[in-house]
Amino acid sequence: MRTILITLTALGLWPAAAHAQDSNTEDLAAPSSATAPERVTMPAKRVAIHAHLEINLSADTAFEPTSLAPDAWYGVNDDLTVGLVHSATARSGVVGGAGSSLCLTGSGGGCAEAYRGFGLEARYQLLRDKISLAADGGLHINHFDPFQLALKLGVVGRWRPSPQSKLAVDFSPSLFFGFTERDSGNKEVLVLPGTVMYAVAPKISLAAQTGLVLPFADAGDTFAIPLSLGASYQLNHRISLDVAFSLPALIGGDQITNGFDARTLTLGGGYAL
Amino acid sequence: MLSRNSLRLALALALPLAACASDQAARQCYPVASWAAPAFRCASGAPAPVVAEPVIEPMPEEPEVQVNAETIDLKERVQFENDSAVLLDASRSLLDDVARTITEHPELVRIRIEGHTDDKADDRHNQRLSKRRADAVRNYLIEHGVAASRLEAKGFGESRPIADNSTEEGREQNRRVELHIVERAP
Repeated sequence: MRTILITLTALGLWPAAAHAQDSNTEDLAAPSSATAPERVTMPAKRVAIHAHLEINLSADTAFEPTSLAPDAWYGVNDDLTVGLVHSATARSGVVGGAGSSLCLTGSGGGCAEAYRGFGLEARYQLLRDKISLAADGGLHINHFDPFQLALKLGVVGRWRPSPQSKLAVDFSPSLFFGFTERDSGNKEVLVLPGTVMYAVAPKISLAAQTGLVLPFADAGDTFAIPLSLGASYQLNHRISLDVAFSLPALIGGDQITNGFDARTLTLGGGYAL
Repeated sequence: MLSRNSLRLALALALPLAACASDQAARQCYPVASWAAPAFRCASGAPAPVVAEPVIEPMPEEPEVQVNAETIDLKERVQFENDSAVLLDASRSLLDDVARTITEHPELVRIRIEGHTDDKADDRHNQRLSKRRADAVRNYLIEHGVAASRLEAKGFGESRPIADNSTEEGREQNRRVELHIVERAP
């Protein structure tokens, strides 16, 4: 089964890469001015694909699970973007989940099934200024068996002090409402991630993320304050690479593994078509 | 269950790729580093490569400012702070060239600086903003040696679009400053 999934993933991503090769003859250059405001949605008719390799590094379960999570985003127009997402980063905004999608190794941490679910997301740009802000929501299948369906409502934003500033702050608060199988734990969860990115070089940004993950049920015992440190490397105007070391619950409730005992490594690659 | 999941996955991965067939890449947009992907920056203007590449043959430089029969064309756009008439530093060298060009062409007796906006805000706001931006350019040129009597400034707001205001790229083209030659000495 795992082999089939890996093959399917390769088949799914390879045509995109081939397509991207065809597109390489297009203008790969950036605007000479970096004064334009940023956006947290796709430009019209553009496609972006991200793939995250999410690796559990916890002491007794290193590399189990290891999961591969592809995300695809499409700009319907300049304001509306839709996405098919698998990664913990895209689904909740919090970096550092392992076992959120195609499980390659291990059976714990969400990997009881080889393919546990996906999310359909939509973003609508509300502001495009010093603060770029988009409404963000979607339907997420957290597990196929039992069938856990959740609605996500939130916003995603980015603040930069000035267009030329090396500093950027990303935030993506969201609330998940569990629709089905609530007795099996599919209940409301508030997620409040915030990320600081600082460009140490034109192509390299260092990043730090923290926030709050707050399930409404047994909040005192299940909350988590994560911490992730990492970097993003913009290889060129199409390809980006990311790495993040995460403590998914640096501080957390008694019912979850917390502190330095829970660790993950996320390796990501993105391609903008 | 396993084969059903496989089918789900195949469909899930194939769905966004179908959209690729209609790829009409916006040429002036590029991704920026973000963990809350996707994040992009779009702007118009002359593209610049990320990595400096060796120049194989020297190319003759296109002038930044071109005097035509009825207009003075600028190779780049005059840029302002967002929703403001404050000139960005990036545009100062361009306007220095404009001032120099006008000074070197005394036959250009009178020039009208026109400000234009997109249609994002209301008409009155856009009208005022376009006038203030035209004034800002006029003042800059006067400060850099152009006689005030040769320059007039006028704001047209959103009334004269040159591109489709329903797209980001179109709106960027509509946010512009133009220089028109009103009177030329024989």
